[in-house]
Amino acid sequence: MLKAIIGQKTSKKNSYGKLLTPSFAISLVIFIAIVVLSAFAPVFATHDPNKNELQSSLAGPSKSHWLGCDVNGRDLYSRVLYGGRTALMGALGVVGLSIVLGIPLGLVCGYVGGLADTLIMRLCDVILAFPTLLLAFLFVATFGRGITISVVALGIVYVPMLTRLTRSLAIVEKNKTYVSAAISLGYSPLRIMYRHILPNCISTILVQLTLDLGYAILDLSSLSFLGLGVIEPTADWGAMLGQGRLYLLVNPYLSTVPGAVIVLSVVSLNIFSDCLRQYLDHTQVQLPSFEEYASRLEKQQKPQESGA
Amino acid sequence: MAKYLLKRLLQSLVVLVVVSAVIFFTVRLSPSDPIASITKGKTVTAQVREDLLRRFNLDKSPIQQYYLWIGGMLKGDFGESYQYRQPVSLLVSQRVKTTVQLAALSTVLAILIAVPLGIVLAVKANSFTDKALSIISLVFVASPTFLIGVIFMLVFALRLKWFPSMGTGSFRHLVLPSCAMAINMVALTSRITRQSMIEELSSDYITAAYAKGVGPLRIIFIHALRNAVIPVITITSLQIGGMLVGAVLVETVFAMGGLGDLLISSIKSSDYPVVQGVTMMMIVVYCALSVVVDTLYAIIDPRIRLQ
Amino acid sequence: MIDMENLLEINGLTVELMTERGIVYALSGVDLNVAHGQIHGVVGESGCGKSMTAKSIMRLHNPKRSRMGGTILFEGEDIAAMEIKEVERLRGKDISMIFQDPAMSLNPLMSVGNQIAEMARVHLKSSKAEARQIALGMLEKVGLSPAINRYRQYPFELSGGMQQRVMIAIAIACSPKLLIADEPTTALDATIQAQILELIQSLSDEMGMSVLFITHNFGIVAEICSAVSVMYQGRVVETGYTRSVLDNPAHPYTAALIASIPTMALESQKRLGSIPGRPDTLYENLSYCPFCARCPQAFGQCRNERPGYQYLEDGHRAACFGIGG
Repeated sequence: MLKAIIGQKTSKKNSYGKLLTPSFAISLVIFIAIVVLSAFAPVFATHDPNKNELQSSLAGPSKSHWLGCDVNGRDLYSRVLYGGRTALMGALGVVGLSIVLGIPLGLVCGYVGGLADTLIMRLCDVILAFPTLLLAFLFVATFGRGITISVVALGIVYVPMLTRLTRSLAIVEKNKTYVSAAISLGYSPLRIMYRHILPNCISTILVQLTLDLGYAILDLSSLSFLGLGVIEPTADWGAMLGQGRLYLLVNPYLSTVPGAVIVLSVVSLNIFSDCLRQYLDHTQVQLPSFEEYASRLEKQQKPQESGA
Repeated sequence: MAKYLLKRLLQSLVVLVVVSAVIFFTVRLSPSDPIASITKGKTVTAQVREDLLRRFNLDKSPIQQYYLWIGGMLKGDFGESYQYRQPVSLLVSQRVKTTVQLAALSTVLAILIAVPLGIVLAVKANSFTDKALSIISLVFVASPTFLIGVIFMLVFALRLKWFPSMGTGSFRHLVLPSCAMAINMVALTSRITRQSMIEELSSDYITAAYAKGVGPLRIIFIHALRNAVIPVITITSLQIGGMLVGAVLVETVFAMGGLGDLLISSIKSSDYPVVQGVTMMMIVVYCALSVVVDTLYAIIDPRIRLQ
Repeated sequence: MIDMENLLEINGLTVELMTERGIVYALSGVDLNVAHGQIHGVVGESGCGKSMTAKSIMRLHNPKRSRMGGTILFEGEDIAAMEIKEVERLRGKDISMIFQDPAMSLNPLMSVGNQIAEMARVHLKSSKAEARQIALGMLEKVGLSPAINRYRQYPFELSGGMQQRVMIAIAIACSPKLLIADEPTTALDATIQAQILELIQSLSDEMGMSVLFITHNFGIVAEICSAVSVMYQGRVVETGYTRSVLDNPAHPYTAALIASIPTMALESQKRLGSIPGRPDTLYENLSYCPFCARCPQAFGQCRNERPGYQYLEDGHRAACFGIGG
């Protein structure tokens, strides 16, 4: 039996470098769900997230308050939805800032090189000398708390990483023949950078950006947790976790639920980026063992046999 | 080797000087009045104000202030705290022990668990254990340190009452915070170790070593591991920064009163001398550890050592 | 060559590999004999199964992603049926292997001396000092002197030719009976190539060591091999003494390969021969002559049956219906 299966001609459709794997689909669905619930928070929320009902302070889950209430009697479920807005918009802002600054700087460093490259890279070294959040701490200490400050500070921290990545990719592309061809055709450096080099680097950059989005959610929530991010009464996952931990024994949901959504969104982004990388990098393809392959063929064959 | 290290040291020295300027002058950009921070918002007479300005060197030009700050730091004087009216160095020395213990314990714990785990997972790649643990580690990589800390506190301190929930003083106080910090590192480091071991194990020189008749244990531990450990060191060195910040977060969760607590409370009360001093110290430590890591590289990799 | 006693006898060796596209029939019945002290060439286009044969002798496939059939008799013992522990004892001690790319095949973090000494430590259970002495001797033997200085060097400090000499020193450290050389000169400059070939030949003479020399270059075969096997699509299609095969190629594929060797005879004005078409990837187990699509002499039977061996004089044989029929 086995011999017969192995002997089967295998079609070329049986390629494992496909994007739509189960883990990819699941992570995508989870992340989209989080985005939709946050974006349309006013539709899905049951209460005003900032309305204090002191009589239901620290109340447990009930019919009217699905996840209970925080110390000010605000509905936890609704605040988690609105908190998602803060967290996701903030993370998007961080990554957006790093794109706007990091990619052009990286392209210039990699393609133009020379003095500009040296200067920009040294500047990156200085920023990278600050352990992740420390520079953000400094910014908050200087300019005061608030989501905008946090986003700008983190954005600046994220720029050098993206600059370095883009630079290294651009250097690789720069030495390829098609770039020489473009130069000999008289295209301007700007055109070559954006129309020729960037499209060839974009897939790797994209993988990094999805990862960065997750890290940005984590870092922003850390700032808010420490009380350096959002200002009351704005709902934010990190800040909610930080307040909730004071009432761990009374209503553990206050900190565990925001924590769970943070983990869920970051995990789904990580898986998403992992799948993306595997799809783009065909050398990473996982081969099945002989036994797995045989059983897979067997499964494929069965419907045909019964149909015949 | 000596040349390589000297170059590395010089580089970090330059970076440190620039960083110190960034720290100092960024804080000067603050729109808030330092006197307000010193007097905790109370209005004071012009005379008192003048005295305070002179006492904290605020009457001098920014360049002079920077010069005094740097000169002081070289002599171990980090300035005077606005809110405590005590030398920053004293405040730090009272709190630094907790933070160092926490960071050291969690790092050692993490490496001791992560590297062997990574090796086992690489050797058993794609087995059920491998797949199950990779999902678990994915979750832990994505979990913020403070969340793990909070959950540990809820489960092991408040519910099971195995460990104290906050404070410092004994080894038992350190267990939960260190574990909370270590878990994140274990997840990341073991993933990197696994990936790097798999890559090395599938390289040509390993096939050649098999063809030499070298046994699997020797191949894994003598040939592959040494090569695989290089990216692991890179990641560990990058994590040092994360670890310092992680310590700040975990100290907050468990109210341990370490350097992190000091930093955060100073940020909130605009106590700039403390913010500047502690930030600078953390970056010096970070830089020093990076140099140590680069030395490790050179010891392991002859291609760096001999060039 | 049949009358001599063989060191290595491969019979009906098949290897199936798992790839992302499905199963590849990498070897479909390889028959190959290597006599004592003989340098035996294996020639063929890339992907024909030369290296696969070498890897099979050493059992270097991932057991989960491959399966083997047939026998590999080494001194009368079947390597294909051995426990992996026994194979490990054989590897390096009785059968050694050198590879195409020495730069990738040496451990970058270990000094070359230690990599040679490791052989003595593992197989001869030598002490550290003994192993060091053996390694120094081997370095001299492969022409890397002063050995004391070379011992301490790392692979990245050596040129490609020197790296290949180190690989050879590792391979011969335990005086193996068989050396498998998998395209050992392909990655090297032409002048270095000649030196390495000379080294392998002199070591074989000196130590009475058999060599299985894998190459895609018939010129090298003519130079150093006393016998040759030509492989096509996972099968040996022709085998015999080098002179006999070169002078009277029986298989059309061998003939075409020989015709494509560039010669110095420019006056003949002959255009360099090339073989039309390209070998297919072996996704199915063929029931016909794999060369028939490219063969100028193919006829009906070639497309319906797999040819067996036709024997010519002096152990020369070829798998082709076109012979003697």
